Amino acid sequence: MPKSVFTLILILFTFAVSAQEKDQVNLVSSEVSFVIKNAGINVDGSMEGLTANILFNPKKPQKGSISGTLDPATIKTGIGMRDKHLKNEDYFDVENYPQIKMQSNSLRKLQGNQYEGLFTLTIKDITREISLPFTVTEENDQFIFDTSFEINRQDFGLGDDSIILSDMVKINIRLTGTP
Amino acid sequence: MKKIKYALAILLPGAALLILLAITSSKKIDIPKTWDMEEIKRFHLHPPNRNVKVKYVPEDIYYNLKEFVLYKNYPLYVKEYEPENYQDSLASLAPEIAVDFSKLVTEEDWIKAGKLVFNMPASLTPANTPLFLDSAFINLTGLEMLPDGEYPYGRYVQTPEGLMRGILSCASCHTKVTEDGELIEGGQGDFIFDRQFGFIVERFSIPIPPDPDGSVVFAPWVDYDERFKKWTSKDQKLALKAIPPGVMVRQGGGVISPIAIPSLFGIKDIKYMDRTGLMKHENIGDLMRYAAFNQGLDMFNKYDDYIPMSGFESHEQITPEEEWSHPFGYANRRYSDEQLYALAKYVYSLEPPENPNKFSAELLERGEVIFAEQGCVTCHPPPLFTNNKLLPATSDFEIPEEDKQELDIFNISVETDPFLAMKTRRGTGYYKVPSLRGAWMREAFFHNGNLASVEDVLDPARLEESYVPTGFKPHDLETMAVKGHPFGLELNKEDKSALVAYIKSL
Ligand code: HEC
Ligand code: HEC
Repeated sequence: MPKSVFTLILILFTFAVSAQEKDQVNLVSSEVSFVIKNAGINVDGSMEGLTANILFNPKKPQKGSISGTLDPATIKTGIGMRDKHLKNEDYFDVENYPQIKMQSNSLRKLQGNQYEGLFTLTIKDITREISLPFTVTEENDQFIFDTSFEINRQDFGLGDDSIILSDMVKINIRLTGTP
Repeated sequence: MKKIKYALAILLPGAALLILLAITSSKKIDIPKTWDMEEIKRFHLHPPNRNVKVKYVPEDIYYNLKEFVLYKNYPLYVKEYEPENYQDSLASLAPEIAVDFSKLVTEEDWIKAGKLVFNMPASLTPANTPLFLDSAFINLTGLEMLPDGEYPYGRYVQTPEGLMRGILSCASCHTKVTEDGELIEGGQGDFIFDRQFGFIVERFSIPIPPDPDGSVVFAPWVDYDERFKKWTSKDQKLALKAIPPGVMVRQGGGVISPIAIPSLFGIKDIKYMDRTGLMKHENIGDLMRYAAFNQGLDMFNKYDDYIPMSGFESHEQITPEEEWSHPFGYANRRYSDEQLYALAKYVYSLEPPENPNKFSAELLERGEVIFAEQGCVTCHPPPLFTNNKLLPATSDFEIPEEDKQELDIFNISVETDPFLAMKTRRGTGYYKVPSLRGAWMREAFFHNGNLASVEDVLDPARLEESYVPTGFKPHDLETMAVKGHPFGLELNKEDKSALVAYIKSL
């Protein structure tokens, strides 16, 4: 590659980043919870250790990007031994896959404070594209991102067929950050 | 119309042929071969130590053994209850073979014959050898008998060699006598065989070798804890006497790890037999093999160079003549395949007694919700109340790759005491999830039967070192934690009673 072209790309790239830097949202707090039906009863759980990199400007959502990681070893469902099981290779296999990753490919506005993002979600060694709706509310100079979506746990190799445990898991994420 | 006639012309002879086939094939029953080496290798699990090579008795040597002869047999009574001249009248009878297996046709025929096999003692001694079976002994040991004084764990057998007293039938260990004196065949056995044996060896100062040197328990790959190495012959007796009803010493586990006796109801749906899942249960032949192994042949499994049956160093030594020295006293005989088939049919036919517990619908509904909320339902799901899976006995057990392919494993340990699964010949590295069906009529819970009730399973106090086990408590420990299975321990009183009620309704 000729040197000049390379330099050009480099310049453009740096420019693009700096152009967006002012849209950086600094994460203040996060909550990740999920609900799954086990024998007809809702089991609530949570995960911690979220890190996120958010570039978001409500006026130009399509220019933004959201990525984050989550630590599946922090899973809590209220029963210690169940948590331990969820960490082993039948489920999250946290030893080999210490991070759940999410990365937006595109974000767009729907209406009002409602948005939609196409994300790649990586759990263990399985990566799938999911589309998820989210809302962004501004409160006390903070952005609050809220999303709630469902995935099929078996799409990500989380456990086997079960007549007791449902396949669909509902996931709720709330991120609070300062622009 | 023509078309219909044409179809009939084809269909009618076809149907007739099918009916004919059905009739002829129902006559000829396909009895599985018990000692089929391919099947044995499939159904028998490996010890937790993968380096140990296990060899089973070769087919030809097994089939060369003499078969048990199923003679007609008669009730045994506690001394004071025996009818006058009872033994003499039995001795005057001609020995009679109880079943002609070639004449069995219907399912009911086989089941009826199987009941006789179930009750057929495997170990016989002449009836005139002294017996300690009197009321004093009964009171001392707490043994249950029937209201008319019958001792349902043994039988008299009239043989060509004379009148014999026999024990160690399947019924000896798999019969329960309720407080009302009702006999439940297939219920969790309550014959205190070990306690009785302990009393006898103590009373008559019979020397018995200290385990773990004894062939009942020794596993050559195990490094025993200091606690057991110190055990003397006296410990052995005390250990036997400490074993409560519902728990039993089984060869391979021995006195250092006696085992809760299962109830046999609903066994047809259970995929792994024994607490450690030692034998798979995929077809009726597996149950036949189970019986053959457990009534003597497992003492001849060869673990590297070690054969548990004392005096035997190679399989070639096993002949129809060579006496066995099984401490449980088994004869050197095998069941015929017909006997085992009938036996298995009978075991499958066993029906549990009606559950006398009556709980309100509300309580049971609440209990069912808690059962789900507490996660019990994951391992004990209806309708069997077991997921029929094996769990590693300890988190330290590394599950071998081939097991992941061949076994149905639920990969989390409930961390109950791993000894039986890791350090005995019954060990596999796993415990199965026991079914909770019929828990209402059982009195020994967890694999060693350390707990005597469902309530105790849910009692958090059992996790403390200061706990006094309500079921089996080893003689050399004052107190002991019954650890693991930490589910449902933190419930409030109401929720716990609802959960207990629910379990006792199953
Ligand atoms: C000396 C007592 C004794 C005798 C005799 C005996 N059993 Fe058992 N049986 C036990 C004990 C104890 C266990 C539990 C073993 C374990 O979990 O490792 C057991 C387990 C079983 C199981 C496994 C059930 C399950 O749910 O895992 C079956 C099946 C069984 N026995 C059938 C029989 C049959 C059939 C006979 C007669 C051929 C027989 N038993 C003779 C004591 C005995
Ligand atoms: C992770 C799987 C698992 C869960 C969850 C579980 N159990 Fe168990 N349960 C087992 C295993 C394995 C055993 C046998 C343990 C042993 O023998 O060492 C057992 C044994 C029992 C026993 C004793 C039965 C017997 O015959 O020995 C009872 C009662 C029981 N469980 C009830 C419950 C209840 C009530 C819950 C919920 C509060 C529950 N279990 C949750 C796996 C589980």
